[in-house]
Amino acid sequence: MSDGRKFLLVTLGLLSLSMVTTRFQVVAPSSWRAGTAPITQASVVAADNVRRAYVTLVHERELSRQVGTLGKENDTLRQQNELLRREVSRLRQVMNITTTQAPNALGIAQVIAVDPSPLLARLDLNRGSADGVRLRMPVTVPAGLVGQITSVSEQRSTVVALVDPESSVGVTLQGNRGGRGLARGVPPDRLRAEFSRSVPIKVGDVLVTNSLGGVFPVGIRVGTVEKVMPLGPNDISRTVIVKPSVDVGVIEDVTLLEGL
Amino acid sequence: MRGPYPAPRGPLRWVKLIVYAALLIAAQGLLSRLSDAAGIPAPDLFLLTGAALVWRLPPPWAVLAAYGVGLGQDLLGSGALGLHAAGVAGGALLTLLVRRYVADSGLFQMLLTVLMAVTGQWLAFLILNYWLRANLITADLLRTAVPLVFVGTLVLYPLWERVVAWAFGSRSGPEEHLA
Repeated sequence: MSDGRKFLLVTLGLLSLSMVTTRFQVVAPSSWRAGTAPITQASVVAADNVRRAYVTLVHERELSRQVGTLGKENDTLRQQNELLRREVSRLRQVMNITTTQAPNALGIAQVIAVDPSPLLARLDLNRGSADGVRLRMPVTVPAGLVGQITSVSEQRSTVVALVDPESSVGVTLQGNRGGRGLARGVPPDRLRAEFSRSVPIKVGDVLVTNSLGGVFPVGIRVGTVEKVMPLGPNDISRTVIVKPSVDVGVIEDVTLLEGL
Repeated sequence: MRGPYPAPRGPLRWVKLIVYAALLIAAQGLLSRLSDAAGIPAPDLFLLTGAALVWRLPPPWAVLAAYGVGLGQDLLGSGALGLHAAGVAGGALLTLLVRRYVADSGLFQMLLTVLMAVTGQWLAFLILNYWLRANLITADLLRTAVPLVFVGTLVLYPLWERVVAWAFGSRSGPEEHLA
């Protein structure tokens, strides 16, 4: 038999065998696969581990991307939260001032600059005549009086604080205890107030504004008496050193009042 | 021209054969599992084994051996015996044409070997499908699965050829065993 014929016979024989076995659905007993079961099981486990490692890697990348996105969103929200917190604080400040100091608050202004001189205490605000700011308007914070507007441009205004040497404010003792005095600024951070000799003023007394001069609403806290100067035989008034209620070095937002 | 791996002789030949079978089962299981997860058909290492035997055995023995390899695949797959056997044998049959008519031993030959093996395999499947009047093979399957099987098998061919060379020895020349 030639090689070609042998080859043809083998091929046809195998094809016929397959046709018969597939037609009759000859299936090998499962026990025949028992010998290879550990190998197939190991390969399945290995494949599953590879697949899980890949999925984990992709998932971790996705998580990392999400963390980055959420971090940015968090930063934005924190910033917004900070702005809203400040806004709430300002509104609370206005509400506090309109209920405790004067009902005619114009609004809130931010301190945008301070006078660099150690002898002066002046603040620049980000509100000007375009916002309704006028000369002599009182400027306060919930803790007490800050000063008054002395200069106004369209977008800005300048406040002379109580401790500025050019500042003077009419004061009286808190709680209707009488006495009228005038407090002037003493750089860098105190006021000097003068009362008539008959006023029983002592250290620790709280001074508030009075209507003297017609600039400030009555009753806004100015400061606390820190020291009472000794009276000389010819003195006609009693001098006290006052520690102001407001530290102008740290305030950020102030409230503008319409004044009297 | 003889390659770096001489054909194993004696007991070593059987040891290598057993190790190769274990490797084949493990690698095919791994690839099938990964491919299933990815939703694509797995490369066919059994078919590559059948094609590799074509280059190392006389034609009748090569087809017979390829049939045996396919039968092993049927055994592992718990399907009807003979389907994959006919497929791998069909692949080996067409691969014989490459061995007989293509002298090149580079990329072109590799491409043709895999192409003919996959074509022969699926032709055998089609014949059996017709014989069984079954709907095992559809036009969609031919359009989507066959190209992917071809590409996957082609990609693995160089690596698997090294494993085959280790187990069965390097290829003999194209004309050897053909007379």
